[in-house]
Amino acid sequence: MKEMIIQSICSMVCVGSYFLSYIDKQNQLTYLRMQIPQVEQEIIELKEEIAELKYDIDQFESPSNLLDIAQLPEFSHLQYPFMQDILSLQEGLAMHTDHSDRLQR
Amino acid sequence: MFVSSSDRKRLLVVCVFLSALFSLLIGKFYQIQIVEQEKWERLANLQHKRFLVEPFRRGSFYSNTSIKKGHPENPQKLVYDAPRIHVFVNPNAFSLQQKQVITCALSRRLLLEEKQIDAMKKQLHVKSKLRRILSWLEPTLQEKIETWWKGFAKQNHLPKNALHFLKEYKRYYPFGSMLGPLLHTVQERRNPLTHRAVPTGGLELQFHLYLTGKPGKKWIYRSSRNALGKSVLVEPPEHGADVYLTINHYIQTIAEKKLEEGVKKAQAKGGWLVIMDPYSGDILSIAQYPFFDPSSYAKYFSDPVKQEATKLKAVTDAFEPASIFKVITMTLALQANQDALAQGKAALFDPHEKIPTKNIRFPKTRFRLKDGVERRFMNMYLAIQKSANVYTGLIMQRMLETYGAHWIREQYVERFRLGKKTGIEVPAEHPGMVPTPGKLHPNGKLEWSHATPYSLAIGHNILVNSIQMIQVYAAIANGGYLVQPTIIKEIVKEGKVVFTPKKKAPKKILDAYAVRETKAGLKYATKKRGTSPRGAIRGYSEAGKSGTSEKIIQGKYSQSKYFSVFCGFAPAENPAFVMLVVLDEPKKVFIPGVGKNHMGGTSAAPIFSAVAEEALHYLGVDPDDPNNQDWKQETEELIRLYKEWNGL
Repeated sequence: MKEMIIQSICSMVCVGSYFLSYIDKQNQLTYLRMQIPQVEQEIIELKEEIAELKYDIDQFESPSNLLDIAQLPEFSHLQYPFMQDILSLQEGLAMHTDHSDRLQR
Repeated sequence: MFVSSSDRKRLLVVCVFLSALFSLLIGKFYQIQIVEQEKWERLANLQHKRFLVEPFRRGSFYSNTSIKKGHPENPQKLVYDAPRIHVFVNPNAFSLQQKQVITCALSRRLLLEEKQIDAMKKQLHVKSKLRRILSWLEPTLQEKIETWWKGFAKQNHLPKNALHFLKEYKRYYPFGSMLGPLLHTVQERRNPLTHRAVPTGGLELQFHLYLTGKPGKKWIYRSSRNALGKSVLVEPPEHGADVYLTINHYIQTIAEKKLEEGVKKAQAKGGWLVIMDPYSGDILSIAQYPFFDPSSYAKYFSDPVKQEATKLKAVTDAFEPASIFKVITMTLALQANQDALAQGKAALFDPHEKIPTKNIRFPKTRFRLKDGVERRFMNMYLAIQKSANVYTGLIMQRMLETYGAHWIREQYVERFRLGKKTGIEVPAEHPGMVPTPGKLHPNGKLEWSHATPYSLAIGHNILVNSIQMIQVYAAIANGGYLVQPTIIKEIVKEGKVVFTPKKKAPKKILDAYAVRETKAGLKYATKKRGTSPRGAIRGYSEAGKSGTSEKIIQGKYSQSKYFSVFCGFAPAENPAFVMLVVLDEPKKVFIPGVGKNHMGGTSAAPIFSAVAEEALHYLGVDPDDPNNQDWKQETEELIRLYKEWNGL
């Protein structure tokens, strides 16, 4: 009789703990779900801030500004490169290195 | 304790009664909360929730950053939509004193100007539940205002929602007035019914449906305890599509800078310039001066003089092309040569042929076509070099006698697509005008009289827009193909291409012989003893022709107002671009050592040279004439021939 009572108490405690942890998990998920709209809003605001910064950068780096700066004596040495001076490589080819000579050493 | 049966019965009745009441209550709860849940939720939302529009971001325009071969750059935005906030209040909720405090507090915190403070005071004193007191503020100021308002509302026992904010997007232009007449803008006030932007013109109008998105929805709690502004987005907005242009912002800047300098130097009323890729038809630049700054559009539209700057004149205005049209006459004659030979007939003329040009009278015409200097003999190359009127008229006479007036008109319209819109994706394109034999002007006179072909030959009695002219010169530059000019590469929405321009396939209109000979003639024009040596480009070969036409004022040719024009391409072989420069009313004055300022060779040609040199450097095109010796020998030979033929 005593054992039965102890067994039933133990099983009730186990079941109760299980339900408690389940409800706790659900609460955590609900909390996160409630956070999502706020995080989404923050992302939107960050994106808009990035766009505003990009706008400021574009204003400074506008071709009109760059053309004026290019006229200054300190930048007179800069030239546009001609096509014959540009070497174009396929992507990845420039990263390829030959290790065979290292192995020989 | 013993309970009697009557008491027990009474007890039972009371218990049953209370249980029944309790059951009724549970039943009612069940009915309201479970069965009629949706109905009461809807009613509660109507009372407490209010739906607001979440604005969308209008599509942007992007520059073409892939024109430098082997050197692509990141996409470059030409216009930004930045979020801004409007401040709304309920003026009926405030007393007079409170209104004064609000005005002082906001103007102090936001450092407002006099005009803004006056406008705010005016709105605060209107008897209304909703007025906008401040517009287009930066979002960072919202927190400042909210912090002050919370304290003020609590102190004065005002409803928190008596002040709230509304978000809206505003157009900003990082490059200022660049491409103003092409892009245009949208008005500050949206359509109150559709909540959509109202474009002022240009590409904003042409592609309005693509640029426009769909507003989203958000709800806010409407109660005195909760300030409006805390909201939940239930339906995100659908942002507008982005338009990718063929125009390169760097070449555009070069064009605008040099055009402005050239217009000011020539003391002209204004000018415009178009640069096009002769092989693809992509417009690389379309510049105009005076500039139009779309961010202050109201100043332009409220002034009839300034309003002219909002029109994209390269597309909307047609003009008499004058001498640059002589090249088309020669090209047509050369092509007619080839067609005649192919049919086993004799050629109309030989470009090397020595043709007498002195004392020439054209049949059935009263007016006499003259050159500035009377010459005894010319050939085609000399005629282009010196821009000879009589020689060109004689070539036209041969075509007229062989094929007739209808054939000539048909060639201009069907072969060169003059008198028809090019289909460029800009509103209000002028189709131009090619006179029609037998048709009458509104004043009752014939469009095509006996004298018409001869004036047509030298670029009068015809109206063309700048895109039509550049399209024809591109055919000479690219080996004989008429390409479709375009300003749009594609329109993209959420990563997917939703529009690509329907371009006509390039049509072969000139054969190699006609192209080769015309190009040779054009090369002489920018060399020694040509009409436009100021169009020569340092380090590069070029081919081009200048022109000067009297403006038509109230139906008559003006003797003081002109269009000064230059059209050409560079390098002469495998050209990177073809360019047309037009100056509107350059000052009619003689410059010692240079010539007449209003002539195309004097004022328009240098702009071509300046823009072309810098643009070719930017594109990385290798100089094909580093020592400026191109065509020197041929030019000396032509000068010798001219002297020999004309006894000089």
